[in-house]
Amino acid sequence: MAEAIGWLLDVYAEDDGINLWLLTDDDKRLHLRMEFDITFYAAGDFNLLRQVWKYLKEKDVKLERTVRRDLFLGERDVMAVTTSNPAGLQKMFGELQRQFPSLDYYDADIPITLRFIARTNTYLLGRCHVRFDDEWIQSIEPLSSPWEIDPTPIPLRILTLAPDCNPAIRKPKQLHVKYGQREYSLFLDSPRPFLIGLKADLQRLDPDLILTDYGDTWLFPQLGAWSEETGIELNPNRDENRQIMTRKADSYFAYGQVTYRGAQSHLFGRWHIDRKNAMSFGEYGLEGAMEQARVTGIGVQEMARKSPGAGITAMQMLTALCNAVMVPVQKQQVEGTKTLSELIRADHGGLIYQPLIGLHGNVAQIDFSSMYPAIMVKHNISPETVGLENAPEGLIPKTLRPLLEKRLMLKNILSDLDPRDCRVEILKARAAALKWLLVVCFGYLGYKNARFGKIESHEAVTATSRELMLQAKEVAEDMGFTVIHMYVDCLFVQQEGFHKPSEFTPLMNAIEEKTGIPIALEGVFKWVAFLASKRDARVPVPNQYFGAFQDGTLKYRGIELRRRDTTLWVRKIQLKALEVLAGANTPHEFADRIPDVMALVECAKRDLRIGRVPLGELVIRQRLSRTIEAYKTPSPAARAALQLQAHGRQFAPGQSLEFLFARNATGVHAWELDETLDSGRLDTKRYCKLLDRAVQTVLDPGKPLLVPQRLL
Amino acid sequence: MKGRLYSVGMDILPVLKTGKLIVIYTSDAARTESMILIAELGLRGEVTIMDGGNRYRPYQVAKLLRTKTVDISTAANRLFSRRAFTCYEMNTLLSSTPSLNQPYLILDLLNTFYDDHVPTYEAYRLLKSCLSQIQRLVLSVPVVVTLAPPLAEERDFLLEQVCRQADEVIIQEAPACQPTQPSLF
Repeated sequence: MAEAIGWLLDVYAEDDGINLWLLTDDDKRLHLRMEFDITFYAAGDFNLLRQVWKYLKEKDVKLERTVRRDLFLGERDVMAVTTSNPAGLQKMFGELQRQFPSLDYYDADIPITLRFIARTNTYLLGRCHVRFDDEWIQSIEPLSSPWEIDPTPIPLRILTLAPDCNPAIRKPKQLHVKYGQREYSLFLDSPRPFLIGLKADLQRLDPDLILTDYGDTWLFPQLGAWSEETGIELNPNRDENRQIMTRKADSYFAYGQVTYRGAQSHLFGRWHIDRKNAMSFGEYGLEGAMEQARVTGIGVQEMARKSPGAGITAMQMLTALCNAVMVPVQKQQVEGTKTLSELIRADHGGLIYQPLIGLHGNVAQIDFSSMYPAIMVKHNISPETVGLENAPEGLIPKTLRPLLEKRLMLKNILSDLDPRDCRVEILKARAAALKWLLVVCFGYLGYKNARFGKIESHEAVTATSRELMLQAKEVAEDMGFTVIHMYVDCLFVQQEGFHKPSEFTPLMNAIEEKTGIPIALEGVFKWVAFLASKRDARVPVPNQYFGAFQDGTLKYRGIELRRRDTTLWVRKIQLKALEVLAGANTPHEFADRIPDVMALVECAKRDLRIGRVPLGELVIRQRLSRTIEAYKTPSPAARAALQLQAHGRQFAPGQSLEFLFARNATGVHAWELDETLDSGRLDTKRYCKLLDRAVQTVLDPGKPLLVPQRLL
Repeated sequence: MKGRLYSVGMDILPVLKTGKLIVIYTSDAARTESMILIAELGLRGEVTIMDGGNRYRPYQVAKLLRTKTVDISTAANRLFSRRAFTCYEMNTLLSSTPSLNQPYLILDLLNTFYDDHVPTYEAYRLLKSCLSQIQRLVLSVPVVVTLAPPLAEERDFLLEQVCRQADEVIIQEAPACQPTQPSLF
């Protein structure tokens, strides 16, 4: 019997078990196989179950009556259906569900990686020890845990492929190739030599990861087309028996907006990640995607393209599998009955105060660390435990506890490291990836499609958070602080004579002691501005503020700089204005710098009028919220889409469009149009207006201080 | 459709009778009208509200109650509500609702059935099950259902399925187009 030690790269289903790819310590890529039976359950009316038994007994499955636990209903008599063909499960289950739709089904749509982890305790990207006979695994033993703070780095071979331009705009001429320190280009003008070159590179380099730009939407579909055209076979999979697995593009509604996800190309035996089609890749990169894959149990290719919500769902499924709880295909728990008074009391979000409008000096911002997940863990808030006293640890806290602990440890390590330390960037990416999982876990308590959600548990978390925030406020006020603002999980406090971070430590200790939730100092602002509504200057806007910390770094939320639809030019000038203001040490000095900002703005406008601003910096990016035909009054993005539609481009809701404001009949000029906009046709007035608005945002708080000074 | 068509502006209270299923169909699932109806019914006795489209506005109802009575809490404690966020939940919600001697209001019944992630055959099956539960409730009390149009025409048949079972269907009259004179100043 042979054996090997290495990192688990990939797991996927096959007709007679599962395939595994191992990156061994001696730098080999082992393709192994494993027999793997999988079981799902059906429950409901016994007469129907009898019919199911008759329906399934002709098929190659094992049927058994057993008792399993439903998280909400407790022990249930169920029919267990076991198959030794993991790849055929979805088809068989789909047919069964169509035939018997009124039954409750469990464990029928669990990703194969999660089943594998639940059975072997060996996580993806984790180290393991395998013994095998002729490719078939006889035993597998985990050698690491996903919760390790400092996992051994995987020596991945990474091949990067990127075209020289966005293929949606114009035809690429070259494909830039990068492997290790080597960089070169393959010419695309003739498919035959290109395919031969790429095929040779793939065979020679045998990469574990193909990192592309536009690989999903352009490169891999194009490779298929060229391969057919030239007759040169090119299979980018490491598993040669597999073809590229493609998924169609779709638009979906999530986090309050319509999002477009392009088509996807997944590989077997190696990974493919399209940086332009991976949801949060820009934020935490490969290290973050790998960290999410490690803790969620979803493959790297999948996790890079999916939302953190999918990761949290997978983690909950894994906890359920490991604790012998069945995972329902459809959640059916409904809200309990509430009277109008009860509903008004319960149905609230986090606590948001109305800040004191204007500029404030020496203000400390203190944040509860991962407040909502910490509440869920500390107060044992889970759909099945909500409202119960002394209940055993619920499924959700059980899932979140290690995640929360790992993130806090990473944060602590980061705070102790020198910013120049080479580990900082990697640790930051991993911490950010875990942060996103923790951010969405609360929403998934109330999300309609969550497997283990219940609106009451969602309400319990916000109710607890409101209480804790009030406790924190009382502690601060008892210690003589003025609470200027409170926003869900953070407080802005001020006290005469307090400006050093250490002076706020007793307050933080007192709050942590009172609430039991860790709290951290974000920083002490030299000055911070809370903004008024543009419609009514008496009304504050709770989520719009900006300020300068004592070291001069800026923090800004809710202003134009943070908005994706603000042009780069406006963002640049607004940031420059803030940088000028950041030099001020007090609110009064802030007012002194207003003339400098005004001069800066005038200079920027002059540059715009004389055509010195590159058009690329003036591009506006907006999303289509519906199909173009569905617009009654087309938005600028819809008008730009109409221009491109005339040139044969198609658009789906959620897709973003880039355009310039122009002095023409439609008022816009689509950026992707072949003809460049004549700079004389640019709607400079409109851009100046956008800039004025952005500058007004940052200057308004200082104006009340400016007027009396001028009068004097 | 079994019953007659009315316009939304009418006073619905006299129409409410045991054994009657009344459907109100407007572009916004009778958002305002249903809140007025809930408040009116709450002043008279207990009501059960089942919300399928996140249409229930508790503060609005409380305000409406306040215009009619100083004793809001009595009326507020007579309004019982539950929300469903998927059509599976709506089905569970209806089948777990006992037949009590109080009117039922089902707000935006079809909203979750319009979800394009739910296959059409599944939406049809679940709605059939929901309608049989509604029929059970109608036997002892009046039931009012509000509906909004689907986003995609393919799901129009769900609307027809509900209206076919209704005793009265009240629809929103399209606002008459009045010529307007542009302002000069």
